[in-house]
Amino acid sequence: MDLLVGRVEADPDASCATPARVAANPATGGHGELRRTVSLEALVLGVFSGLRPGTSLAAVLVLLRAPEPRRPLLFFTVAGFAASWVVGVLVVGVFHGADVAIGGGTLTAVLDVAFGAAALGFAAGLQRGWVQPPARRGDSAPRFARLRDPSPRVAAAAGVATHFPGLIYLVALTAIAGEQPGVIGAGLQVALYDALWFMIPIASLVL
Amino acid sequence: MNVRPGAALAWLEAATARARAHEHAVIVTSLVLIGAYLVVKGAVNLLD
Repeated sequence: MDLLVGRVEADPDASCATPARVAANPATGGHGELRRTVSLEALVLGVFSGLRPGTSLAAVLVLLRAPEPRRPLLFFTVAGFAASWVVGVLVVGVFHGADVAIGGGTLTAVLDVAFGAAALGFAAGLQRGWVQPPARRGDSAPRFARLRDPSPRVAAAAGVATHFPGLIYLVALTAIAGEQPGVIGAGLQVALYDALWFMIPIASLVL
Repeated sequence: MNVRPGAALAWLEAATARARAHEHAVIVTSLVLIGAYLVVKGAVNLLD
């Protein structure tokens, strides 16, 4: 599912590996046509991840109650964002490489079915009470005790630990890989997803 | 960049309280929609 911004112009000879690309087309007198493709699925999932009341939000709430929240919140956000971005770009690269090796689209389709089934199974587990969301355990749990007045290292570690890649992130990365982006395009799309995922800590810094 | 913990904390706590009141329904519904969409999309792509 693509979100197309700008005019679409296909040029089979142009490098088609980047989602944000300029394709020179002789038919238009040599003027470049700007094409930007962003995975709409990844955007929707990014908003869902960013607003979901999960472990990350609980950690942010504890950090905001710290005596001086500015530095820990910055370390939390920067470290978590950086780690998630690196993992995301690597996973997109692996998915994309495997998809090309197997045959365009096949792996993405198989992963879509697998992740979709996992999401349905998780929903069933939540509905039947077999699974409990981590946030239910409350932010006063011992695992958050060190965040009440954290060192930069602890805050950074919390940023990484509370944004460990899960099902939704893998689904989003599959969607990004399915767009067959180049390295820069993949990096930008993963960064956009991560910015949405970190929207609460980022907003907390500027509110 | 200024942190105003009072404003951020008050806003977040209010938003979290509202979200948690409907958390179960929102998450289950979202997962069902996402899961159904992915299964259908993947199956259609595999059968193409």
